[in-house]
Amino acid sequence: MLTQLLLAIGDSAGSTHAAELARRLGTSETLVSAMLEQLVRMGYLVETVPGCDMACASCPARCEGCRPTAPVKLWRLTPAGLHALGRTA
Amino acid sequence: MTDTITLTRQPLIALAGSPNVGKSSIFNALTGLSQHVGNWPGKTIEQKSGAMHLDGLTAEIVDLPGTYSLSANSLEETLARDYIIREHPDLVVVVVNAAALERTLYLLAEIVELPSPVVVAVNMLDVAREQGLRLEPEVLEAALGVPVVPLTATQADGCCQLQQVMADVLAGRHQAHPRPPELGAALDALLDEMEALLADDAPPEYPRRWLALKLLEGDREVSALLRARLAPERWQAVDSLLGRHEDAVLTIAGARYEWIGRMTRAAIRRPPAGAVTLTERLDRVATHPVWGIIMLAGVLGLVYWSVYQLSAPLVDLCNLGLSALTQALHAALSSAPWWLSGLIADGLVGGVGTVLTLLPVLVLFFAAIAFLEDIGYLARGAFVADRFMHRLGLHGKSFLPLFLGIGCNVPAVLGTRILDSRRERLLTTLLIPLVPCAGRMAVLTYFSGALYGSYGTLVILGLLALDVSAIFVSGLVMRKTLLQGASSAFIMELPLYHLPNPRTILLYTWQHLLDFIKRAGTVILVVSLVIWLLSALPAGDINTSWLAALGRWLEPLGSLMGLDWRMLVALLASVVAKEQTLATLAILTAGSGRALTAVLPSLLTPAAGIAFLVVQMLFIPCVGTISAIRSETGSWGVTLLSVLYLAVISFGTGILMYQIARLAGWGV
Repeated sequence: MLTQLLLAIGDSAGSTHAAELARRLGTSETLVSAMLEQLVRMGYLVETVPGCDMACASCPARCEGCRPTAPVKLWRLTPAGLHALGRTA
Repeated sequence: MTDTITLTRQPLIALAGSPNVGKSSIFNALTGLSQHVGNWPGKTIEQKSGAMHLDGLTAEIVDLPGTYSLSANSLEETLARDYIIREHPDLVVVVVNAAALERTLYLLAEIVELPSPVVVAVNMLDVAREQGLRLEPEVLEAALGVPVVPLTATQADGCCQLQQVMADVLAGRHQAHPRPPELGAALDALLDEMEALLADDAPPEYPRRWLALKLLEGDREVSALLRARLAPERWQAVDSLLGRHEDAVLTIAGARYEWIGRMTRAAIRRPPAGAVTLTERLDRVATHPVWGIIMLAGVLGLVYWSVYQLSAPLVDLCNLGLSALTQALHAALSSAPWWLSGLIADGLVGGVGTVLTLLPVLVLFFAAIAFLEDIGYLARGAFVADRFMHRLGLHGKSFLPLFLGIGCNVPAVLGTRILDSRRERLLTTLLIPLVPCAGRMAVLTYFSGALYGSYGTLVILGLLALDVSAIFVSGLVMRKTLLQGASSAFIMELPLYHLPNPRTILLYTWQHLLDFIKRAGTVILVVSLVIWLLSALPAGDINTSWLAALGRWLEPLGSLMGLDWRMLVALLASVVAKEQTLATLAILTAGSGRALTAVLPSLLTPAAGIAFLVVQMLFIPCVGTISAIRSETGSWGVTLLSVLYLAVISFGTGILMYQIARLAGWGV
């Protein structure tokens, strides 16, 4: 099932989300979320924070109102994840 | 039936579970005050054990560190699994979360494969009920083949029943028939092969099948253990087998999740669809590839339209107040030297005051963005736009940093760090300054209102459409030429829709306004004073000033767009901060004695106004963004390329728009 999830992530056009992956795999969104967490623990996915909290120290603006994180939380495939995807595809 | 426990030693019970399943609450409820807290041997991690009474016998119960699996990914997981595997407890109580069974059953999937008897404590029933989930423990027990006890440990509800079941299992009164995950014939055969290779050399304290499983899962600790134990040629055979089955780790974990899926489908009753799928129903439109984009365009259009409509009268009021203030200051300073009254009334109050008239625009803009983010829509907007860009052949994930640029370009540039390759980062970095930040939008709103009155909203929407087109075209051109490459996928977490929290929106708006006011009181104030000095020196006449000399040097470029030297100087000043455009123009037109909104129509024809707005929309970003580009790319060359690219496309598009309007005979 994790193999299918990895393939579904690889097949997605650009970004995808848990509900969409759940529809493609015919399972629940909560199970997909749990599997995504498992892929993170296995080192195949990594959580990415697309906001300025990554680099406040080097930010030349230092805005008081800077949003600490982006409006979305997201994960991307690691080199290990891409390698596994290459093996299974 | 009251059989007593007949063990030759004090019963040993392990309490296992994932983090945050309420394991400690259960441990406290079972042991009361009979607890001992120390450290695991040789480690700095706390070990809690305690005594509990079962059927007149005292048992020792050990609270294991929270762990998601029996893989040695962390010290806590290693301690927990070593205890279960090597100490051979008489009973393992696995605590799972009723509200998140899918997340917490994985550990159980591994433990039920081991020889130790298992009892499952399904905790947090109260939380599950609040979420509308109904657990059917009998069904789960039948599916798992081991005893299941539902409980809410924080209210000590179900703890007595758990104690009774534990006593029954220890006394052998409960015959369990565990049903572990089925790994499939191919994997079973592989495990048999691996077990045969391990033969009698495997450490006796570990179950051989478990060792084979962990080897196939790539467990480094088990691999090191067996590499040290096995003869070299035997290890070579094991290693070769592992090399041929690298993907076994995914198959094994996948089989466990299939098992988890079956268990939860059987044991959890979810609320009727209508009650939980508001988010799903809304997302059918909001995340749809076509409708989602239309909705995003509509929502952003509505935001800008509302901001414009609501802020225009307030900006007019602010301008009236500012005019009155500067006139009063001039009157009050009539006996002071010309340079003092000019510096204070025109440079200080006129310049910075004009910038502060943007406050109504910014309040509404920031509140609208905060509202969209708080209700959960902004994430959907990012998602559909991201996918749309991907379909156009652009790297979809570049849109996430671009989306951040709506508030301010600086964090957006820093956000490009999420992108994998240098090419993607460069492409996105070059595109970010084209995203209109709050300051730029506020200035454009001000100009549109002053120049085009009730048509201002249409002008703003037209500018946004032009800007989006510029981003797409620039992205496509760069992708097809300089920055080719393949893209990879992202998985986003889309939050549930919910009612907005006024406090969150107010806080977000206030923080951004505070930042704007600070900027107005520092950078913009200082630059306004410098600009006033340059416009007054050397002889106190603006037309013969040093600033006029600089502006007139640029006038050949401005004449292609119908812009005089003052408009060009204002554009250049926007590199300090976008709002500086207004401060500069207010200073340069102070001699008229009227508010800037009243002066602008006489400075710009409608065609020249369009050209000016287009250039302002696409122009070089502020120094903060330029500095961020330099620090993120580490290259002056890329920074210069970005500045030159934006200067060329902004002036080029401005000239084109002006010439088209001129040929059409519109407002020249």
